[in-house]
Amino acid sequence: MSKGYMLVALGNDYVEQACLCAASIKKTQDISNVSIMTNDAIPTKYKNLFDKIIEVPQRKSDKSFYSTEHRWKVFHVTPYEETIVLDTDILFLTNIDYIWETLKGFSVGFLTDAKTYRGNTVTNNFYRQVFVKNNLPNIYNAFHFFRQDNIALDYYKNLEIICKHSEEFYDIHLKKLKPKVSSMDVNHALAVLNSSLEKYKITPINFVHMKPRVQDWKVANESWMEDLPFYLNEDLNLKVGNYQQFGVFHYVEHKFCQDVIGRYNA
Amino acid sequence: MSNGVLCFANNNSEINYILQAQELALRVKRYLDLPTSVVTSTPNKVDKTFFDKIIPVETPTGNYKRYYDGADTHVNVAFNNAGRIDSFDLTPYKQTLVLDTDVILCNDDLKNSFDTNYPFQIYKDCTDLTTWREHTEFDYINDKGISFYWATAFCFNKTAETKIFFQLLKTLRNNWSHFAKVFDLGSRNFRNDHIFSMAIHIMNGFMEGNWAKNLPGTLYYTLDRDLLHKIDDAKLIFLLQKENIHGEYILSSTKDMNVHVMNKFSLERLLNV
Repeated sequence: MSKGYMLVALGNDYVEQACLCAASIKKTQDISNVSIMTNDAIPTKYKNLFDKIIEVPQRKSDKSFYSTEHRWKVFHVTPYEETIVLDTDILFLTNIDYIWETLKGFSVGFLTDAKTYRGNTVTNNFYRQVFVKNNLPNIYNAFHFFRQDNIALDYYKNLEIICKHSEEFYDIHLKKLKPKVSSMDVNHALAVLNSSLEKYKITPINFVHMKPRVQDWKVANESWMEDLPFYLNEDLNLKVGNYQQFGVFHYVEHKFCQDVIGRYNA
Repeated sequence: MSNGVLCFANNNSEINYILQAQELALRVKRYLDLPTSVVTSTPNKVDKTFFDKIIPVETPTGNYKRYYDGADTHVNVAFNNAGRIDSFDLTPYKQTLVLDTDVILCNDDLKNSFDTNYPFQIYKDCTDLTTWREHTEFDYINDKGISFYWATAFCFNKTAETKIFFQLLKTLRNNWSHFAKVFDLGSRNFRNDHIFSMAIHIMNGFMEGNWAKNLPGTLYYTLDRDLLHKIDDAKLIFLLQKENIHGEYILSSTKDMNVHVMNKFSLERLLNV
């Protein structure tokens, strides 16, 4: 098992999302190894989706909103030589196995091209003000890659320090605007800046990001699900607002997971 | 292979579309060197000398629509222009350019649409003559919806593919109340631009795509809140509603530019001279 996906799920909602994500990977990918790092119980019916269910090492408590003090540990527990780490609120809709070939030249890599559900590149930086103001690399840790090599090891050691001391790093590096809570996207961006990575942008693939204020709408509610209908047919093809969706779909809203996970049980 | 232009002219109580069609046919001959056929429910009112063929149809049913004549005047009259959905069946040509009668041709750009093998061409973007107006409703059919295409002008070849497209248009038209909900148009009246946008979106596989190719050149437009002041061959003079000042206009002119004049009353006043 040299290639596979890792999910980090800390909390019941995230576990449910991870199960949906894993089910969608099994349904669409030929390379479909998935493991999960969690301390929470996986519902019995979903356990067989995962190669390994791995406890979070040395987890006493979660101090941060996004559990950033734990998420860097994924590098050290993954059973795979090459790992794609995913946010749990991601759904795979079509096959993207080709991406593994592209990743041959990477030690660590991130998606940088987010799309709206209409297929336009996200240009609105409403949620990325910290990145814009501080001139950080515009990376998304929701889908990132590492291989087990020394470059990635150095990178993750650096990330560990940033995650453990994020406030101090933010004081030093984010002079113009700081996130309200420790952010894994920001921590990775700082780690990239402090790294010797020659390349880190995974460009042959993008993902659909369903945060409402990046959709180029005049009016947006807090949840895209208040604004757009979606249709998931029996073959698990997804249309959002009459747009067929493909590839990697970052749905953001837990309600979406609750609405569709039953379809993947069969 | 026969090429030609097709237009639809069904007069209502206020607007003489046949008069507009005659002007269009003259300009089509001059700039595109093509024949024009007109589809109309009142063939006896058509001066045959302007047209290649006069294609009679039943009086079409339509919506009532508010037509402005400048900033302050408007009337509600019947809009009987859903016939273009039947263009595939009605056209006498193998390759057909369908044009709204209120398009004033002033150059030969559209001639190039006949030099391609594309089955279907249409404008996705047209350009407002003003620089200060934002029309997001011409980008997408609504805030969250699909891309907008202008049914004002389109060119098609008679192929199996375009036959499917026009059949699809009919299905959408015949089930409009359903599809208006599916595409989140609420209770809005049937509109050619919307139904063409829906059909193109479906032909693209429910995503952005290039099944429909762009027509050559640029089609400019003015709103019905603007006034067409003068037609001087290929030079058109407009009064464009000022930014943020209701009822005041700014003088503007175009030369050698194709313009879709939405104020049909001001167009007709000039054609009647």
